[in-house]
Amino acid sequence: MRGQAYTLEGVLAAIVVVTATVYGLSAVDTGPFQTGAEQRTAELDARAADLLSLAAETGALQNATRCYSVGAPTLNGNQTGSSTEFERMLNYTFDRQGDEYNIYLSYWDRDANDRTTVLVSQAANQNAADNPADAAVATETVTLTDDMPTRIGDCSGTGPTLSVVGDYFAPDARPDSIVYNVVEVRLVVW
Amino acid sequence: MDTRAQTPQDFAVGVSVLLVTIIGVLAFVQGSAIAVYESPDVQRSQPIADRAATYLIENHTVEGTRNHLVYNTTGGINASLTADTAELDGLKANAGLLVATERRANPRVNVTIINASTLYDGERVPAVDDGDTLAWGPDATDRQNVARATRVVKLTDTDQCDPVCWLVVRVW
Repeated sequence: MRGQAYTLEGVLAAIVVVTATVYGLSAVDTGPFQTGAEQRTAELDARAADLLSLAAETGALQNATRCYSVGAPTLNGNQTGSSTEFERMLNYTFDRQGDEYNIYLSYWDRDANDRTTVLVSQAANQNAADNPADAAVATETVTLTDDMPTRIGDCSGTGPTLSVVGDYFAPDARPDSIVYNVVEVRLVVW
Repeated sequence: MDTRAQTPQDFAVGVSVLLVTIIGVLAFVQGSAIAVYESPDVQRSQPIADRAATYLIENHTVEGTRNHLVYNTTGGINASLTADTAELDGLKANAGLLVATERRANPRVNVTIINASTLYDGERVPAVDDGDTLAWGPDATDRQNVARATRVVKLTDTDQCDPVCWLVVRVW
């Protein structure tokens, strides 16, 4: 009789523990924990991709690419010195919202026989902040041809064509063809 | 008379009380004290917000362009959202927002356009154009657990978007 009571007690206690555990697990979310940072990165991803799409769409991105190094030493939204349409878009979309970013231009370097990437949002590499691991990245490609004019004088004026000008950052990838270079613009936001 | 205190009857009553208490606590406390991290509501609503924003952009862009929205003419975003009901039922039906895998979601959706000068000030109030406030659907102010999708766009036929506007979709 006593043995039976102990067994029953044990079974009931086990039921209580198991029930509480099962109920507790279904009441709270035990899935992988999504932090606010991931949510934010997803939002920045959409904004970065949209901004580059829109800039490529309106020609602002191509203008800024033709201006970098001949008309403006840097491309960013700080609104000091040059302020191209692309830089104003950056200023409104990221700088004014408290987001940081780096912009890189990658072009074909014929001498090195490889692509070369330059950081264009800061005057010197030492000034650039390191991107955190969860930064959002967007890219867009700009094709430049030999007869496109460069942009000079804070990007407002039209300069000599790309094939003629000497101090443009990217060399002519194929001197025997109309294509000057294909530049990939990479925007890293965090 | 046996002097033992813990008879099976006592035990059964005690267990019942304990079980009811545990279930009661878990059922009522859930959502306030346990929910220390982001609500699963936001994770469930996020894809809905993304889908709504993508639908709006894909269906109102100028033919052959990206992120360039037709604004005030026929087939424009203003016309189609203004013609919709107060709860934006047409948008929800067309963009397929009423579909959910586990349970039927009934999301509430707010669409807002923020103009360039407001973005410059770092604010989030909707743009006003010709007396029209460019916000559609129920007001999201003071709502908890709102999922948000932000897209960068330009609107045609208006000078509000120099250089950019934002299209913000909030879902809760």
